[in-house]
Amino acid sequence: MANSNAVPGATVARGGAGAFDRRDFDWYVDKAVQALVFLCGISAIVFVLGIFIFVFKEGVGFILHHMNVREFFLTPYWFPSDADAPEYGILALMAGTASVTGLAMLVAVPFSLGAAIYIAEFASGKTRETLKVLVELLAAIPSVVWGFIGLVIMNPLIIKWFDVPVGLCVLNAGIILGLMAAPIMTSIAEDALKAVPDRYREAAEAMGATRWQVTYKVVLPAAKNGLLGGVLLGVGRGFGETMAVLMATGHAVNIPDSVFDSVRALTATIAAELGETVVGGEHYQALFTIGILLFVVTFTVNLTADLIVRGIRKG
Amino acid sequence: MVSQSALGRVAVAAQEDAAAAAPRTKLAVKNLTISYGKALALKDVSLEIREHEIFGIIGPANAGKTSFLKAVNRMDMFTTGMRVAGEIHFNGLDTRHLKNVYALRSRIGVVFPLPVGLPMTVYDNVALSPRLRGIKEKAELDVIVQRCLTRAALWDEVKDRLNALGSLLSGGQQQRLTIARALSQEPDLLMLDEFSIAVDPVTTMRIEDVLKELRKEVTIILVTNLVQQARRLADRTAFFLNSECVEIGVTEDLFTGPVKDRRTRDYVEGRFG
Repeated sequence: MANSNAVPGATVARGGAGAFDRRDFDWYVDKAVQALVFLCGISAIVFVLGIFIFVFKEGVGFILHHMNVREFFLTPYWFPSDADAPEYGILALMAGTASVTGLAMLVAVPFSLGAAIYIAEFASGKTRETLKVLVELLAAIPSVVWGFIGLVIMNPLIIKWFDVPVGLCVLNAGIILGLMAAPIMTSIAEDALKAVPDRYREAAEAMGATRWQVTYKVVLPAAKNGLLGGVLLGVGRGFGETMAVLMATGHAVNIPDSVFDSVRALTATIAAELGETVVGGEHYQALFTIGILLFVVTFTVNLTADLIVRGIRKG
Repeated sequence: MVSQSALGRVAVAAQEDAAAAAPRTKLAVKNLTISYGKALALKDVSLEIREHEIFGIIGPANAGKTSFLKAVNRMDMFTTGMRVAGEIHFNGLDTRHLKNVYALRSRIGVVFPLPVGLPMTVYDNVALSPRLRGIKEKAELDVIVQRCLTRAALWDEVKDRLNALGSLLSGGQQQRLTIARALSQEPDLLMLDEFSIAVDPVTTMRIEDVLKELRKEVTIILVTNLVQQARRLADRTAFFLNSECVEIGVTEDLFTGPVKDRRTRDYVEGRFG
């Protein structure tokens, strides 16, 4: 008591019995911050739902009234602006997206896996840190820049090297998209490798296994779920990418026979045509139906990837 | 496999002529000093370990025992900041200047204090080292796996679930799995680092019996916290204390012989630490 007399306010701050009933400033700050971060957290769900509802609302008219499921999925004729008999077949567009994404994965998977193994298992100290920063920097390059590279650099190179009339094709877009997806996949794969505890490496190394044997026999099998998740996220990225694909594919409705054929992707179709449609019209709604399809596919791929990655954490 | 074991045997044969009667030296350590940055882990240790003996190393925590083992099988390469000075000769070969440390490590089996079941099946855990040596034949691998698991006193418990994940066995089982894996290397030198920490007393005794048997084939370095374990098993024992090798001698002398260094007797009789 003598102390509280000497320091005025000490009783107030430390509180007698009365302080337990009084909500002070800190209490309100805490509540306010809680409410704020709750709103931020919940907004992710609200936005995803909101976007899905919007896309679905805009496209549902087409699905209900105009769409012939067989024609839509199984014919390659996309002539939405034909005044008399517009045709909405997305087979060629799906083929375009699938071929470009597939080729992109052929480029990106070995590339990013190799990079991740080097960074996680072989590089040390400064090299590793520098590479990690650079890889993350690569992931931040805007897709229009990649598209520009496809248009200005890859296009003439492909024409020159392969002696084909047009260099905007599956090969061009596949390589561009592969290089685009590689940094993200590298980053995720590297995380998966780093999640394998060092004691496994030490145990195998103590037995006389070389670095590569340790990686190949112990680390890769232990990290395989995380690696698979990374690949799937890359697939999702490839599927949803628009600008680079629009610029590098040649944007021609076509089921490709070879990697030198021009194609058109689902995403690029929406980007290129939506501005010229009548809002609420048939063409407009058809584009939104494609949007629904893309949404469902990317959502499924990402969800699967997420579940697979979570799978390892538990096992 | 052939080339590696041949390499070891050639070195052994060379020594065979040199000293026919006297016990051959398996590991010769001269002026070994180990440091991590500024911290000294081991100071100027010199000792010789003879073929087919069980060499005990006792001492409290932070005495430098584990660092000693790491230096022997060149794990220092991958331990950042670990600096090793001095000489270590294994079968007469200078291990500090080897071109292929992997071949060296494959001849030295290590059992870590905390069990490490690799995240693969029990079978694959034990078959890993033979496979690295190039053995592919299933029948041959089967024999090796069964022999090593039996020797590590684990076979009866896992013979019905060789396809279970090694990392999901219980702690004691994982430790014996680690021992089986070390044996599967057909090592020249077996180093056990406080292997009984995670194993129950009954199993510990079984493994100790196995070690006594194994002495006929391999040289064993037994690092242990349990003074009595060293007394039961080790032919000779070194006492490490505060980065220093205080005393080396025939194990029983450390307990009952004339006192050479007061600290050793105090430690083995449990009067400090």
